[in-house]
Amino acid sequence: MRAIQDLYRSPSRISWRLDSDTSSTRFRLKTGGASFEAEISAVFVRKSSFVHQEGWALDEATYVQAEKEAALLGWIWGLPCPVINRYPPELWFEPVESLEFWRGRIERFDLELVSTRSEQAAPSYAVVVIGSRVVWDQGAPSRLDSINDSLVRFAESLGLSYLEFRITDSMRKPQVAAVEPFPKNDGFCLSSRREIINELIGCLTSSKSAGPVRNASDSWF
Amino acid sequence: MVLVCGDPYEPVTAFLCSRLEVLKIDYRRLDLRAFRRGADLELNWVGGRPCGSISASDWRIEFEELTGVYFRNVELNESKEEGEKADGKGEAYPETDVRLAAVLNNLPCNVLNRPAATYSNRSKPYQALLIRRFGFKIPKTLVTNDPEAVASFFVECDEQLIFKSISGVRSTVRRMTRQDFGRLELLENCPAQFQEYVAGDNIRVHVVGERWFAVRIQCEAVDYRYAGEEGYALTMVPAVLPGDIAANCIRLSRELGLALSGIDLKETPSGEYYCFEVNTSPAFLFYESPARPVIADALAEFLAQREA
Repeated sequence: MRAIQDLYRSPSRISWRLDSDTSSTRFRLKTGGASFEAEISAVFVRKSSFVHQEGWALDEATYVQAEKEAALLGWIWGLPCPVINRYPPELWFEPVESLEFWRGRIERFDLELVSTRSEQAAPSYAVVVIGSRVVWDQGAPSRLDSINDSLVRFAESLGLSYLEFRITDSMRKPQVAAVEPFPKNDGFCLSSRREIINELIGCLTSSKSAGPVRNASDSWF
Repeated sequence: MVLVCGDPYEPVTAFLCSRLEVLKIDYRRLDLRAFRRGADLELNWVGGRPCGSISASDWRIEFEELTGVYFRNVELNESKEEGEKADGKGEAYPETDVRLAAVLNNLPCNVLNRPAATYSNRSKPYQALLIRRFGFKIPKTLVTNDPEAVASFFVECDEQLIFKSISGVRSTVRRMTRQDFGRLELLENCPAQFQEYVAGDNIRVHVVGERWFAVRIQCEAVDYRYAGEEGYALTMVPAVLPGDIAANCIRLSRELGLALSGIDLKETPSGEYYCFEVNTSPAFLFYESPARPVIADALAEFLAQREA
């Protein structure tokens, strides 16, 4: 396992080649030692702020970030191994927290969006979809499991195998209070977090697909 | 009724509006620069689809009246106040209001293009992976921050190499020479994209629904968009595409969720077709004949759902 904060920053040096038929990666550290795509068995993607060089003008830093994000998105889509997550471009480049953005999709998957009133009154629980598994934070009432299938289908429709939600437990029906394509897991207790980590490791190390393939018919349209 | 969302002073949007007027197609213009201040959404959701209306100071349209929406948000954030720029939150691309994006992504009528579909060309190599699935060749490409890898690639490509941005941020395509070797250390700060130079004629294809319009660009400049600035002549003539290439352009556009696209091809002297990228908000005006604006008219008719 190797954790790299910024693939495109020294001492990390990465070369991704592609042409009409092939795609290959060579990765090396400036200090020596190289590895190749065949040695990468799985990739877990976190989106963190890229490190900006001291003294860069804002437009330079913005350009560098746009280039690095573009390079990283292309690279993860070119890998043959499991990747969590292979983000669709619209989420990668503009992750949105606004529930309004998600409303149409939420309703299409038989889910309900939280109303301001129930948000204030009812308790809410963190839940995460990992592949076809749904992990609720410890203490969530079991009746909330009734929406598991909808949550999984929602994540699949985005091509994501790892997606976090916050669900409000209103008396009428569970309601979606947040959608987080870049899960933070900070709403989970320690034992639930362990379960999530174990599930993620399972997806990354097993031969089962770590990312449903999304095509145009599954997209927004 | 057609809704045009964009900057009314941006040339492509303004030209489309002028053609809608000539063709006597009813339309309303939504100025994206002033959306929050100058317009309003009344919005309910039923079964995952937006219901309601959009209005500005002097008009109001029910969503169900719409036959099509044109959406072009290409202006850089130059209108932002200096104070906003100085807060360290620079943006490479213009932002779209979240509520408006949600509506445009989910309206049942044609939207050219839905905001969610416009992001794919923010990563050219991401698009390249899709493009090659549709029968096109893509040039040998290297995306890297490794100076040594570029030096090797330069030799491998017989010193016929170009470099350009990886993202959708506009850059001038340039040919690499040995004089550029001294700058390769700059890659430590920012990766770049290098490609074998492909000789031939550039062909720009615009897809509008199921129709296509191709223009052959004959120019000696590496990046014909800047031919004038570099002192090169440029000639554009209508092009005829082989049936399979035209069909692949339409399929590729559809796969990307685009009802309108601008596809950059190159036909080599041996008749092979390379595809470089798919523009999701194409500036088609550059390729139009002012006397016979076929792309704008096709677009207007498509938005109005008139038979071609």
